[in-house]
Amino acid sequence: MKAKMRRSLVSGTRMAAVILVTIVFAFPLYWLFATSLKTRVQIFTLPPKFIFIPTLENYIQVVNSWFMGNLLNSFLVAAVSTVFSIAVGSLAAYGFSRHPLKGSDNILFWILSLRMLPPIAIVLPLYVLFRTLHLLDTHLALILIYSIFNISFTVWFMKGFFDEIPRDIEESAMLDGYGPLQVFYKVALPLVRPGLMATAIFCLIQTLIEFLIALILTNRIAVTATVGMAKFQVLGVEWGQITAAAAIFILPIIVFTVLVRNQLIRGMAFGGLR
Amino acid sequence: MGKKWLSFLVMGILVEAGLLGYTAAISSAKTIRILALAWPQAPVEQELADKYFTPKTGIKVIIEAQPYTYNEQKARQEVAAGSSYYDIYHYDSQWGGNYIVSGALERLDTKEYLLSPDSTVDFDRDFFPELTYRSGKYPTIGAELDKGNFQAFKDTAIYGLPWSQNCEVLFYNKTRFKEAGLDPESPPDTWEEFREYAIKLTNPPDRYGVGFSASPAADYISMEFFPMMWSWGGALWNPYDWTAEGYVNSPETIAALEFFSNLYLKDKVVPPDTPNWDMDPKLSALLTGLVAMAPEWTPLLGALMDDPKASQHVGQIGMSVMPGKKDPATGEIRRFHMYGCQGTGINARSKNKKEAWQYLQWLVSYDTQKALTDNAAAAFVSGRRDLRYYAAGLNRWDKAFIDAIPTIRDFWNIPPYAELLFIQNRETNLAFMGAKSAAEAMNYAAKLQQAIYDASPYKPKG
Amino acid sequence: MKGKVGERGFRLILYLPTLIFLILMSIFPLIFSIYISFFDYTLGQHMSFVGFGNYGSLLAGPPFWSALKITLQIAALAVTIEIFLGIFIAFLFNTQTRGVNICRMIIFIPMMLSPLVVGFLWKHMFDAIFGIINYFFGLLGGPETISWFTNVRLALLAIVIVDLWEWTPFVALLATAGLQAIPPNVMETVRLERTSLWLRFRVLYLPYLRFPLLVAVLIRSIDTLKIFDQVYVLTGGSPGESTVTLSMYVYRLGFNFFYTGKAAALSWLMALISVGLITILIRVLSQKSA
Repeated sequence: MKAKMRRSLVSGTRMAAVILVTIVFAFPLYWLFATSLKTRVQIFTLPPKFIFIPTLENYIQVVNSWFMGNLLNSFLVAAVSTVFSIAVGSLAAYGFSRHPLKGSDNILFWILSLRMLPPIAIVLPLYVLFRTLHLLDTHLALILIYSIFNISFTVWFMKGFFDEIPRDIEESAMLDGYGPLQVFYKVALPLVRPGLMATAIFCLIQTLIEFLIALILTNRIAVTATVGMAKFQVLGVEWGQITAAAAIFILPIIVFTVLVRNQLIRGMAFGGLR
Repeated sequence: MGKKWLSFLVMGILVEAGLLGYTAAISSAKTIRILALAWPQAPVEQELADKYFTPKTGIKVIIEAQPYTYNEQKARQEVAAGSSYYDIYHYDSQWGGNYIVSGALERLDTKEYLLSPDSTVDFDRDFFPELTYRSGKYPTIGAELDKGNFQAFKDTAIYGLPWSQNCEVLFYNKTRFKEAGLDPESPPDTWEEFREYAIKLTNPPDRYGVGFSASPAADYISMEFFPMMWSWGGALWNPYDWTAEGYVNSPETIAALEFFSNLYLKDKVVPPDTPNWDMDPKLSALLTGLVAMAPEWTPLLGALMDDPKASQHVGQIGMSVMPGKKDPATGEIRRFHMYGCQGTGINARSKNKKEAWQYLQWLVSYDTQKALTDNAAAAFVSGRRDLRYYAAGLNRWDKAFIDAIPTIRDFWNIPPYAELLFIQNRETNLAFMGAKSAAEAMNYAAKLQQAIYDASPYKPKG
Repeated sequence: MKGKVGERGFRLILYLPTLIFLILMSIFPLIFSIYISFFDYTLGQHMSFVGFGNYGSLLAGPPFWSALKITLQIAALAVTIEIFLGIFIAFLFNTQTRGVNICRMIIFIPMMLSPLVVGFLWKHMFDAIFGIINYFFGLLGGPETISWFTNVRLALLAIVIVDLWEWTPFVALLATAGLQAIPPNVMETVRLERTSLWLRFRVLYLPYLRFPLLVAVLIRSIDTLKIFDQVYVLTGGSPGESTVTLSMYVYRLGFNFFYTGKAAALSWLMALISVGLITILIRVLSQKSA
């Protein structure tokens, strides 16, 4: 009896702690959302207002502005780049895992090092490159550049998942007469599907929030949401509109993540395939 | 699975090709593109262009407004790449020198443009030279312009027409004045009065006398300090031979800096966060009444201060010329205003220069400038002389600006301005925070700035 | 039996697309920026060869070492705290109680925000007068107007706090994955025995946490070394120069002063430093797991 009581006390305290941590992380989000519903006057009052009359004005202004087009650009670029990067990158990841080359470690490190480049370093050369190719301010340019980082991430991340597949599964498939290509897409790939989902989500998020490259390489047509948000700074920082834009931006991402949350958690379970 | 992904890729490429083709189609009609600053004027200008300019001339105008923070970057990379994408560039006055030496701007005082018999613009007759000579002509000597000696530059090359005109004036909160027992209709006339009033108006934690944007980023703190420095009789440099020593660290400049810093360090009439404030907190502070007085750009605050959704003191904020200081020699009160005008010029690599010139003529014409002035949303003051009385009678920020024109001053517009300004800001900010004495800071600034002057290939010889 | 693809042919299919794409895309920027770094070049203006002059003047000047120190401080502090906090949260949330999943989702959201928005949001929250954080301090009885951004230590602390808020959940997520990989029978054994906490942690949990934590440390280290967006918006380098990171220094040289050559040289110094540090990190971490 005592053990049971103690256990439920512990789990009760634990839940309380969980909720506390969640509140700490969620509070700024609430503040972001609240700010988006305030007028400028309400944002800058002392003491800060928790209870106020909300206004949808900021949202209306954002929806009627350039921002919605930017949103579309962002998602298009992120989706295409992610799909492309995962397609190409998981092939290489499988290679590094199961069919390593001589000097694989060095190549892997080189691929990882591409991710270490601060975007600031490559932005100007990329500008020169794409201007020469007459591809400035195009979605294609952004997709290509983002794919550098996404492929690098995919190769590195997916390799871990492929490493976890027990060799005997593949070996028995080979004994059954599967060629290496079939082993890959009939046996290995389905087993790492949760990993692919996790990689996809990370790639999507990283691509969507990128700022500097989109800023320098786009002018009007292919402008992404992060750059579009920064444009709400005409009369000082337009706090209401920036937060409203951020809220609108993040909504589809949250929805998507909720839909695939099971995949995400499962996908993150390294070695949970036995 | 591979097939699915492949089809995504192909779709993406097709969409892309479609968009590229569509853009090309649009641009085949005569179109001019303007790289504009994202000021309130830009969208109003676009509306007017669509309504009046395009139907009359058949030329489509696309105004691409980029935020101020990134604007110079965008322009300069286009220029470095020799691009003809934009036909017209806007530029803030201090960027002008670089644009011109990089070959970005087309010279306008030629037979194709201003000197053409068909030109509807007379550069000297139409505009205030105090405004246009500084941003439109290059090279000029600021010190001569400050003296009103425009004659000396009558034949200097012209690269830009006036776009947006503004300056900093003193804004003050009449309600706060009344609360502190001060006359709401007499703002401080001298810096000494300014300080006295500020002390009376300060009552922490939510009442402070003054708001300054004392951040070392961009040009913020220097915008606050320069008018003070000038009214003390200080100077930034010697523009004739590019010398810093004896100017930026002259006794007058140092005295002004000490006064400025003491407002924070000793008198404590500014909020504690001030050394980190850029324009946005200062704007908010004025709108909420946190600070009672602040220098601020005319259109910025002017556009917001009577908007009940933004301002907590609608109708309570007044404007006046900046405080000054008595000149010991003449007994006159010297006051100065920070110049903040932007010019607009034609891209020297543009393929549509004729059309661009048509647009510029239309833009600075009386009718267009009046339309912009009338539209409060544009937060606009015209640089045309013939609109001066009309604008001043509009009972907005225009009168304060027009009163300020004779005493308007600018800082460097020479190519190395950015690093000079950076050093100036940093040292001023360190002195302001009390990390260095004013003398230390300005002496160090003089040393570093001199090195930059000496290293520049544009320094005058001999 | 379907058509056979030989081993070598298969390898080509696996590696070629990635390698060709990466090499093609990266070769021009890399060569261009190395080339430019040997010139004294102001964007759009004169260009003169200076060999290693840019590198020399950068290494000789105090701004570089100061930026390096600040970047390393932020990275070391942020990553270390994130790892420990992330593990703690992973353990805390590692229960089947209903609602935990929702909580996990919620704390994952900060990661999805644009760093620019995060910067603006927290700048507003840390505001000395209007900020909500000072308001809470006031409620709890502390000083009401802490000026976060005019004090060097507080400014750095603010930057670290923001990074923690954004990325600790990421570490927690990775650690959770590791924990959820533990087979249930092993968990049962633990519950029955009475072993010390530390022993339990080391023998049982650590093996499953090793890889996720390695990923977390590497990714977070790489990212904090190039931290830019949040710092730029949050402090802009203030007070004075004391929160200028290496990325911000590159930005200032290249985008404020337009000294393109110097900026390229600094970028390469940054890249070398990152590569060096990460290599050391990998060595140290793989030794530990041996």
